[in-house]
Amino acid sequence: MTHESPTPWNNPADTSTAAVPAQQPPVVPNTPAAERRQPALDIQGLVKVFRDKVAVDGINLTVPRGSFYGLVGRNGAGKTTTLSMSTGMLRPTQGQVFIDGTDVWLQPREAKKKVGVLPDGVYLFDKLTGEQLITYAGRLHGLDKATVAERTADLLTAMDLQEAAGRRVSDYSAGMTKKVALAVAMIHAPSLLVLDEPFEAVDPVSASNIQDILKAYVAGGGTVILSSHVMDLVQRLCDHVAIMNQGRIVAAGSLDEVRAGSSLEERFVDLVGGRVKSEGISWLSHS
Amino acid sequence: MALTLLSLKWRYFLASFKGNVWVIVGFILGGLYGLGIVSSWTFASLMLGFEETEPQTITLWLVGFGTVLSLAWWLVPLFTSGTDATLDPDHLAPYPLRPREIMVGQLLGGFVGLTGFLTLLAVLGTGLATLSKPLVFIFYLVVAALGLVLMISVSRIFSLIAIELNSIPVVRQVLLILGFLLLLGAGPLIVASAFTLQTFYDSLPVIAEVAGWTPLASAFSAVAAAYEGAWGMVLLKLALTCIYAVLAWLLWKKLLVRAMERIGTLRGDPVAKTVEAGKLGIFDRFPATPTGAIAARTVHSLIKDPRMNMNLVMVPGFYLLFSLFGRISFSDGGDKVGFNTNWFMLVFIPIMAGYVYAYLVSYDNSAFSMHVLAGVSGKADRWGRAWGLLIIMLPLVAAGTIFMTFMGGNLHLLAPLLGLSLGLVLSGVGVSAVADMNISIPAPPPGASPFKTQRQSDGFAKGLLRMLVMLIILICGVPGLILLVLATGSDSQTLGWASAAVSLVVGVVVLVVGIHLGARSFEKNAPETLQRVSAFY
Repeated sequence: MTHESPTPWNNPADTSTAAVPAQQPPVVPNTPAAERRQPALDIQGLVKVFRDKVAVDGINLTVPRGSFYGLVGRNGAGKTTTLSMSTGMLRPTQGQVFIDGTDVWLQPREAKKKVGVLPDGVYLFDKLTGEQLITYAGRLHGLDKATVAERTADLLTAMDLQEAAGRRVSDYSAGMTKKVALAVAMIHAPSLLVLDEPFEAVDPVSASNIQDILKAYVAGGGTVILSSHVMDLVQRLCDHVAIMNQGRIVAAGSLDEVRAGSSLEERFVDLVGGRVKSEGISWLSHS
Repeated sequence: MALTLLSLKWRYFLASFKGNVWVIVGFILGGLYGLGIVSSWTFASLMLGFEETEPQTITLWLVGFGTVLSLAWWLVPLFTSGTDATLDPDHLAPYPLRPREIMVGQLLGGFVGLTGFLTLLAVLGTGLATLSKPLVFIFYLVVAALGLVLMISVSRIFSLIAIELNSIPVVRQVLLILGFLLLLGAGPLIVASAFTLQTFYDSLPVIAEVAGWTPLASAFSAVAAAYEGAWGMVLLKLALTCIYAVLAWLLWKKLLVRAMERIGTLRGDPVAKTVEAGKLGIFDRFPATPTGAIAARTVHSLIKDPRMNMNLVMVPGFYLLFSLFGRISFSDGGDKVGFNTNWFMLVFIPIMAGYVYAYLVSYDNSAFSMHVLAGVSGKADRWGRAWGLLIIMLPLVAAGTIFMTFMGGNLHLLAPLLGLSLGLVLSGVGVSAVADMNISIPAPPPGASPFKTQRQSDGFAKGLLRMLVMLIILICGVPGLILLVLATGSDSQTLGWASAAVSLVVGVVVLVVGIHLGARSFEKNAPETLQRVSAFY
C-alpha cells in the first residue's frame, strides 16, 4: 500500500497528511493489528424476503481492504437490496454484515462512521444548494464547522462543482446530482465507499472525473464496492468482482479468477444465461 | 385514432381499480356522493319540467347550472394540472398523431371517469326542466352537446396554461397558495354570503344575464331563450356559442402544438439563480452540530418547499379567516356572549401546527436515508426537527392567538388562551415525535403537487390511527382547558394564570417525554421508517 494521498479527506487513518514520509507503512495509532486485518466489508448468510419473494438468498461475500470491488448482475438480481442491507438502510431477514469488523445491525452508529454510501434512486434534499447539501452531510456526521467547510470546498473542487455550488440541487443535471451525492458520501472520510450504480445517467466527462476520484481514493487506502451492469466499466475499473443472479452470488473473487480467460461480459452471460439466439427481425431490416 | 385514445383512457381507468380495494371503495363512496347530488338536482329539474314554468326561472336554472359547471371544469385544472395525465401531450408526443386527433381523444376522454360520467348525467338531468316543451328539450340536447365541447375545450386551454405557469416556480407557488386560501376560505365565505343571501338572490338574474353572453353559459342561455320563444335571441346566442367554440378550439390547438414542441423543456431551471459559494444561508444561523443542522434544514424545507409551506400559510390563514368570519356567523343578533367557532379554532389550529411534525419525515421521503446513513442519533433527529418547527410555529400561533382573542373581545382571557395554544403546539410535537416513527402519514414525494392524492392500500386504518394521534394531543390540553373554563366561569385572574401555567407545563413535559421516546424509537426503527416513507409516490 503506497501512501500517496492526493485528496486528504479519503484517508481517515492519516491524521498528519503530508507530513508522513511515503516509505513509512500506514501505522494507525490506537488500532490493534487484528482489527486492521478485518475485511472492509464482510457479508455472512444474508437473506431478504419481501412477503413471499426471496430477493436475496443467502449471500456470503468478503470485500478485502483496499480492493476496488464490482458487483454486477441483471436488473432485479438483488444488488441494491444487498447494498441497502449492508449499509443499514434495510433490515435483513437473516444474516450479518460487518464493516471493518463492526456489525452493521448491532452497532449501527459505529459501523456507519466507517462507510460512505451513494444510494441509487433516492431523493436528495434538493431544495438545498450543492454546498449546503454537502455541509449538511458533514454536520450530520458531527464534524466540526471548520473541518466541514474545508472538506466541502475540497469536494466541490474535486467534483468540479464550484460553479454550481450556490445553485439548488433540484436544478442540477443527472451527472451533477450523482457527483454531489458522491461528495455527500465522502465528507466524513469513510474507509469504505458503497456506490449503487454510480455511473448511471452520468455523461462521459463526469464519469471519467468520478473514476479518477475513486481510483485516487483506493490508491490512498480506501475500499470501494460499486454495483453496475456495465461490464466494460467494471472490467476496466475493478480488481475484484462478484456476479449476482436471482439473489445469489454465482461467482466472486479477483477479476482474473472470475473471468477465467474470457471477457467479463462473456463470462457474465455464460453464468447468468438468458441470452436469446436471435435471427434478427426480418421486417426491421431495411437493406 | 381518437377512438384508440379513448379506449386507452378507458383501460387506464379500469386498471386503476386492479388489485386495490380502497380505490374501488373510494370510487363507490365518491360515486354515491356525486350520484346523490346529481339525482336530487335531476329530481328538482323534473319537477320544473312537469308544467310550463316562468321563462325567468328556467333561464336561472339552465344558465346557473351551465355557469357553475363551466367554472368547475375551468378552474379545477389550474390547481390540479397533471393529476390525470393519461392523454397529456407529454405522453403522446412520440407518436405520429395529429393535434386534431389528440384533441378529439382528450375531448371524449374527458367523459371517461367519475367526474365525466357525473357531468353527463347532470347535463341530461338539467334538461328535464324543459320537458314541458318537448321541442325545446330536443333542442337542449343538441345545444348542450355543443356547450360541452366549448366547456371542455376551454378547460383544456386552462390546463395547458396551468402546465406552463406551473413550470415557473414563483407562479406555481403563488397559484398553490391562492388555491389553498380559496379552499380554506370556501367554508367561511359561504357562511358569510349566506347572510347576504337576499342581496345575492336579488342579483342572480343580472348574473345570469351577463353569464349568458359569455362562454360560461351562452349555450344554455340559447336554450333558455328558446323556452321563452325569443327566436332572434336563440339565433344570436347560438351564433355566439359557435364563435366561442371555434375560437376555443383554435386556441387549444395552438397551445397544444406549442406544448408538444416544448416537451421536456419545462422542467428544472438550468440558469437558476445562484448564491455565492461560501454562503450557507440558514445553516450559518444555527449551531454546526447535527441537531442544529437538522433544525436549519427543517426551517429551510418548511419555507422553501411548496409541499410544506402550505402548512405555514395554513396557520395564519386560519386565524385570519376565522377571526374575521367565524365571529359574524355565530353572533346572532349581536349576542356576543354566545359560543362561536373561534373557541374551537383556538384549540384546533395549535394541534394542527404541532401535528405538522408527524409529516416531516414523510415529506423527506427517501432523502431521509441521509439521516439513516449518517448514523444520526435519535435525539439529534427528533430535537432538530422539533427546534426547526417550533421556532416557526410558536410565534405564528402566539400571534394568531393574540389576534383572534383581540378580535373576539376576549383579551381578559389572553394569558390562559395563549398558554393553552402554545402548550398544545408543544404537545403536538411531542406526541407526533413518537407517532411518526411507528406510522407514517402519506405525503406527496418531493417535486410533486401538494394536492397530489396518495395511493394508499391501507389508508382507512391509517386514517383512524391519525385521528387517534390528534385525539391524544387534544387530551394533553384538557387539564388547562378545565382550568380555563373554571376561570371563565368565576372571572378569577388566579385561575386564569393557573390555567396558563398548567397548559405550558403539560406541553413541555409531553414534548420532552415524547422526544425521548421518539428518539428511542428512532434508534430502533429508523430503517423501517425509511422504507415506509420511501414507498410514498
